[in-house]
This record gives sequence, C-alpha cells and structure tokens, in this order.
Amino acid sequence: MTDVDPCAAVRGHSAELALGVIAGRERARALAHLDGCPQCRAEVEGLTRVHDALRLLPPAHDPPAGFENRVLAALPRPRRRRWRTVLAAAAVAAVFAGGWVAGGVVSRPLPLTAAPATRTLRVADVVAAGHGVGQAFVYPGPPAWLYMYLDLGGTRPGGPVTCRVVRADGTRAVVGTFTLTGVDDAYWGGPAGSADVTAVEVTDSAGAMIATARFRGPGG
Amino acid sequence: MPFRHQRADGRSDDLLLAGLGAADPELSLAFVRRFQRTVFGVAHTVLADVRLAEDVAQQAFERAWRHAAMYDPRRGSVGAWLAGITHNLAVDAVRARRPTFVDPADLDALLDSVTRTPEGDALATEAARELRAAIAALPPEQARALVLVAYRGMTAAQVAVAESIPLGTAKSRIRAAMLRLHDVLEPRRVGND
Repeated sequence: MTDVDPCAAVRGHSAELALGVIAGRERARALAHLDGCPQCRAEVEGLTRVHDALRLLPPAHDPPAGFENRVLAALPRPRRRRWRTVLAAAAVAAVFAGGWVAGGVVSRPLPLTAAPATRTLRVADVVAAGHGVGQAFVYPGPPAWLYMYLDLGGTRPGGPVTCRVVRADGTRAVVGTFTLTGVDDAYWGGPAGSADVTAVEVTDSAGAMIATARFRGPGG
Repeated sequence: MPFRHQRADGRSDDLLLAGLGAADPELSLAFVRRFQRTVFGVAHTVLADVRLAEDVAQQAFERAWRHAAMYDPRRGSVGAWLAGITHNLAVDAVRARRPTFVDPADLDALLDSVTRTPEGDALATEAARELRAAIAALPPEQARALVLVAYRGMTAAQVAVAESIPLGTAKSRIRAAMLRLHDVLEPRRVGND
C-alpha cells in the first residue's frame, strides 16, 4: 500500500505530457487519472495550449527556389470534384464543431457548362433575418465551384436543410441537402454547375428561407 | 463571428484548404503560396538543415492534403493546424537523426529564433510577442530544457543526459518553464476564444 498522492504524481509529469514526450506506462497511468480528475485535466489542457503556442513561434522562412512546384508535383492530379468530396471534409469538421452535418447529398451531379469569361472569385455575404451570418464564394473554375460558410449562432433546431443556387436566367438548382444537428458553425463546398450564380438559398424542410447570399458582378 | 479567417484577397484559409482537399489546381497553388514560408520556417527551426527541412515541409503539405477533412476549425486556425503537422513531422525527423546530441551553437540559434520577433513581422500577435519575451526571461537552464523538449522532441531523461544533470532536475526545469509560460499566456487567452 502506498500513500502517493495521484494528483501530485500526475502533475509531476503534466508538462511532459502536454509536450508529448512521455510514453509507455507513465503516459497510460496519467491518462487514466486525467479521465477522472478535472483539476489535473485542466492543468494538462492549459499546458497543451502553451505547447500549441510554442509551435507557432518559429519565424517564417523562405523555402528554396522551386519549392512550390515540387510540392504541387507531389500532390494528386486534379480530379472531378463532387459534392461528397468536400462534404466529407465539412461533415467531419462539423461533427467536431458540433454544428452542421452534411448528408443526403443530391445524387445527380449538376451539368458542367463552358468556362466563364472571368476567373475572378466572387464573394457574397450570407444573410439570415437581416444579419450577416457568413460568406459564400463562387469560384469560376472550370468546373465552377461553390463554397460557403455560415454561423447561425445556435438559433435553429436540428433538421434537414437544402442549398440551392439561383442562376442568371432565374432558374434554381439544388446543389445539396444537409442535416442540421443543432449548433452554429458550418461550411461546405462543391460543384456549382456553372459560374453564372446570382444567389444561394438555404431553406428548411418546409421550404422556408433560412439564409441567402446574393452575388454582384458577372452573372449576378 | 461569421466573418472568420478573412484575407485581403477574399479567399479564406478554409476555402483554400477545401480547395487543396479537392485537389483544385489553382486553390492548391494559392494554399501552398500562402503557407509555405510558415511551414518551411517551422521545419527549418526544428531541423536546422535546409535539405531536410524541405523534405519535411513537402511532407507536411502532402499530409495537409490527405487530412484536410480532419481539420477542426474549433481548435484553431488553418495556419496553426498546419504548423502543428509540420512540427510533429520535424520533431520525428530530428529524433531519428540525432536523438540526444546537442551542439551548443545550434541550441543558441534555436533559442534566438524563438525569442526574437523577426524584423518587419507586423503580423506577429501580441500573445506571440509576450511568449517570446517570457522565454527570453526564463532562467537560462530552464529555457534550454524547454526548447530541447519543445523543438527537439527530447524526453526529460535525454535532457538530463544532454545537460549533465539529474533526471529530477531536468523534469523540474521543464515543468517550471511551462508553468511560467502558462501564466503569461492564459490571461491573453481569455476573451480571444
């Protein structure tokens, strides 16, 4: 039988734990203790934030000439983008953020059209109930691509929502359906079909408008 | 705040990361251009070797592409996420190369690079300036122990060997340094979440 104070024992390792340099049995023992001790957990979390801040201190430094070309050459070749490509990212991020979960993706891909005359990224504020809640971007591509984020501040209950683009000729096309799980921040992106998007609309399952974004400039 | 991570060119960091994850050529290029100095800076500071730093920086971008879906905006900016990826890769590389060897000149250069705000770095945050000042103000033996762990990935036992001190002393120095920096950082954090 020992009289070692488990909190004192763990706090003796807390800095190393936060810095990620403790392993094996000591680490396992410490993590088991942290699971049931909010005070020690708070200390390790605080020191972990110190470690995160330390990782940002190294000064920026120019890489050798040609670096960006070598990086891009090593990345995968461009592939046909689908909603689910980016929605997968949005869904994971949203789950972590406790916000939207993208799901129920529209099964028919939108037809791609010819490249637009301009390659300027267009930006519009996303507005809900008269307040700015995010931004939407139309990237002309080709293929044209839509990205948007919004923060409803937890003002809506969960439920499915639909995202539509409005084109220059007034027609609308559904680009995706998603499930709102309850809380605020969300972003998603995917093919816009064409770059002549004048607005984006997000509606609930009853068709009521939740948020809109209206673009100015080419096509909008 | 709905208008997060906004940049002068209208392309948020989130947008570029999404474009990288989707392998969009133009957005991938913009992503690399925006973050290459940060990524290479982290790798170069940890490794002190241009060629190795370039390899690690390149791996960091590949990992960012592969794990773009795992980025959690709640936990920090894209830049911080990418710096963390790079730091982990660089520390793994430096551990594999020379786990306990410490060149005094190398250690001095490392300390200098994390305590001196680069000239013309108008973007350095107040928190970063204060953190650099706090490291510079640590007792030298604590500062050395801290950077050996934080930027060389050394364990307390390896610090003890490198500094020719007992293990308990090494652990105490690391802990004292981290607690001091925590005291400096935490007031800064309040109100910034």
